[in-house]
Amino acid sequence: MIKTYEPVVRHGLAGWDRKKISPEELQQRLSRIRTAMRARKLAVLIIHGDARQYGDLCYATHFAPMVHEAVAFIPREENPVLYVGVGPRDIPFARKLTAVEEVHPLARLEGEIGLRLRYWLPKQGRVGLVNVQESMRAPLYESLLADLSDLPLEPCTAWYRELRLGKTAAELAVMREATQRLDRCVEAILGALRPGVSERDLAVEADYVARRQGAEDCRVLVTSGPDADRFLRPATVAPIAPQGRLLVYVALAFERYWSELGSTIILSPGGADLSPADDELSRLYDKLRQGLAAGDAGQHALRKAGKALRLHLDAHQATGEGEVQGIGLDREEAPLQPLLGAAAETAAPLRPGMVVSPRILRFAAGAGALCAEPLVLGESGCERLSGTERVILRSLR
Amino acid sequence: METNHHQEYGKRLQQTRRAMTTHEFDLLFVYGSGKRDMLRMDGIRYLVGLPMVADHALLRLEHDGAPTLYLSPPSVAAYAQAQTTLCNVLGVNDVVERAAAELRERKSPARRIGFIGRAVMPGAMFASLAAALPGEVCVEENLLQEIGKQKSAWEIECVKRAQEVADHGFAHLRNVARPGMREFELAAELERLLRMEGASDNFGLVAASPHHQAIHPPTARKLEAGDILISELSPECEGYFAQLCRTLVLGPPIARLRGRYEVLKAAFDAGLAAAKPGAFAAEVAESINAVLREAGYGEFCKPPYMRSRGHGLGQGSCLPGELEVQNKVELAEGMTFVLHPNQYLPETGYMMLGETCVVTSTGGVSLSSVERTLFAIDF
Repeated sequence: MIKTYEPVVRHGLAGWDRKKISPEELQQRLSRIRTAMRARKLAVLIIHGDARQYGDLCYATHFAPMVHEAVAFIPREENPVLYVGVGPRDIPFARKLTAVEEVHPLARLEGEIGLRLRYWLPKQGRVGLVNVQESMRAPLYESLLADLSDLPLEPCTAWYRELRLGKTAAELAVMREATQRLDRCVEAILGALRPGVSERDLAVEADYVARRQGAEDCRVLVTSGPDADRFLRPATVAPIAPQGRLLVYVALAFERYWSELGSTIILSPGGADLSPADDELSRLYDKLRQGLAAGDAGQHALRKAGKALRLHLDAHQATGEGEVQGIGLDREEAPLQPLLGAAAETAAPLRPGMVVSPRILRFAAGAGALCAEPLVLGESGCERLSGTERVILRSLR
Repeated sequence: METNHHQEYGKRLQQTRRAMTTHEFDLLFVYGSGKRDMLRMDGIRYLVGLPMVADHALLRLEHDGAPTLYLSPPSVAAYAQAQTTLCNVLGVNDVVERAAAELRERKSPARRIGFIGRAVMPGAMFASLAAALPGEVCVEENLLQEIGKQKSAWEIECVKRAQEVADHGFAHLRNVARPGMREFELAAELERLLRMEGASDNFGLVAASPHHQAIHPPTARKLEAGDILISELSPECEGYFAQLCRTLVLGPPIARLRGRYEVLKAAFDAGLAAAKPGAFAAEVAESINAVLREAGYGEFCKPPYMRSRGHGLGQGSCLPGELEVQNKVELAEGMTFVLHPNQYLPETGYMMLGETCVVTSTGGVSLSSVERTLFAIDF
């Protein structure tokens, strides 16, 4: 798992381009949610989300909190209601970012959220909870439970998340655009990379290029120098050494959807070729991409890639990590399939329309490597979201 | 600076242990999530200096010995341990389960366990924690806030540095903002400058309109000649935030705006004058409101026309909290806070004016060097 330092506010573009994710698309989602609710005899769904993990909330509302949190209330028949963790002053702006017409402030409602929601509740029926137990802060959660204590509450996160695993054409188009923006971020890093430039300069450049292209949020992690054998981390003012290498992870959110790229950039002014270890890892990653697909074929490719990665790391006396991580409205969402260790034996379901990012990290002194890019799973293969013919490992000449 | 830094954290641990004795806690847990909030204290960072990269973090502090920090997921532990020598880091799958199991294995289990962080901990997780720990869990959310409310010289230096970065950011804004530029493009320019100046984060908002209802995050709207531009820059340096709020006009400011901005300036001055040790936070807010009432805007001294008259800033103690007329927190020397009489006025729309201040023995002092005036951008 690649964890990043979270910002206190998502300070990129705040808006909703209705040509990209249309109100009709959102209406279709609501219909799917309500069909599932009817099958489970649920009267309402309560969905929680915050600035860090907004996927469940956003799927139903298109709303992603810039700060704090929000709670959506989805009745089976009536119109949805959204409570946003801001004061009344900020509600008119919040309304511009969501398909929900009824938007209210949540700030200072910790003692009465349940009572407010009760106003919209039918007299009877079960209440489903999505991402509430997992994520809602204790004061709000306890207040909600106390106010709704006479109603049957049902955890619904698991089936709800199944609904949003496979991406629609509109979602894939947005993720493709997000990935193209990431390509430009990596190009910007390549353009700025020279001996002596600091990690921070490069990370700032990537972040700037992302935001200038309308990214809603951006995360950059790097490693270079002695740390390249240990972990990815926030950039420091450490300069990139001549002949050094930079492992860089960039993720950005565009129109609510995340995409990510992980690259290994080798600073080689003399034009040295890639090392045998880099060539080998590059081929391993290519093979994984070629074999990845929905269903059993994809699982087979993952098992093969896991074994090959283990052999590769052992042969080069390196440590490493490998996983296939789902990506979409959340930067890390289902499925998560580790490639190494005992967990690699479990098989996460791979379905058509899922977007996954195979992430491979090799930690070795002076020879670390990182590969990651989003792929759309199909029945018989996968499609790259990136529009450019990039090689994963780069050598600057 | 580095020596001061270590002395600083040593002193914090000492003070916290004294408070644990006062509360008769056998040990103290501090919880933190990766969800950051400029208006909340980050207890773990305050005690062991670690910026949060984990989903869940639980710090166990006892009366002696190095604290233990449980982090989930385990993959973040190596980085975290490399960042701090002030605690032992353990990467675990479930911070609650592991911390509780270790306590249950002890021969003499803890009776009273202090807890900070319920306000940010997921509800179900807190319920499991309370059930799994072998002793009585005593939530004491304000314990660290009280310890840290009077900031040390080192902390004030960090806040000053953040304010300096905010001031530079505003100078950059005046240089680059032009008609035709989109709000989010301007925000990107500001973000780059702040990061290059050393800010690790920024609560940044910038908006342009002929008549604002409120500040909001940057949109795709293009700046136009005659627009009023409002900005709030809040960079974080060494974990400490500072803030600068200002209003600019794209083009020559009209007299009506200048006249109304003078009201905000007078309100700021009144608030700063009221910020003396021993005064209540409410008195600062009331001083600001009094100026606005006198100018005929009494009915606008409430939401949605304003939010609050200022507030404390993290990651250290956020006391005195919100500068509101209900807030009875007493100001003390060394407290830092943002003072901002940001206000919607019917003739001008929402305008912003504010900056970080510190309470000194003689009264409130601003930390910003940016003139408190309505700025105009010539192009």
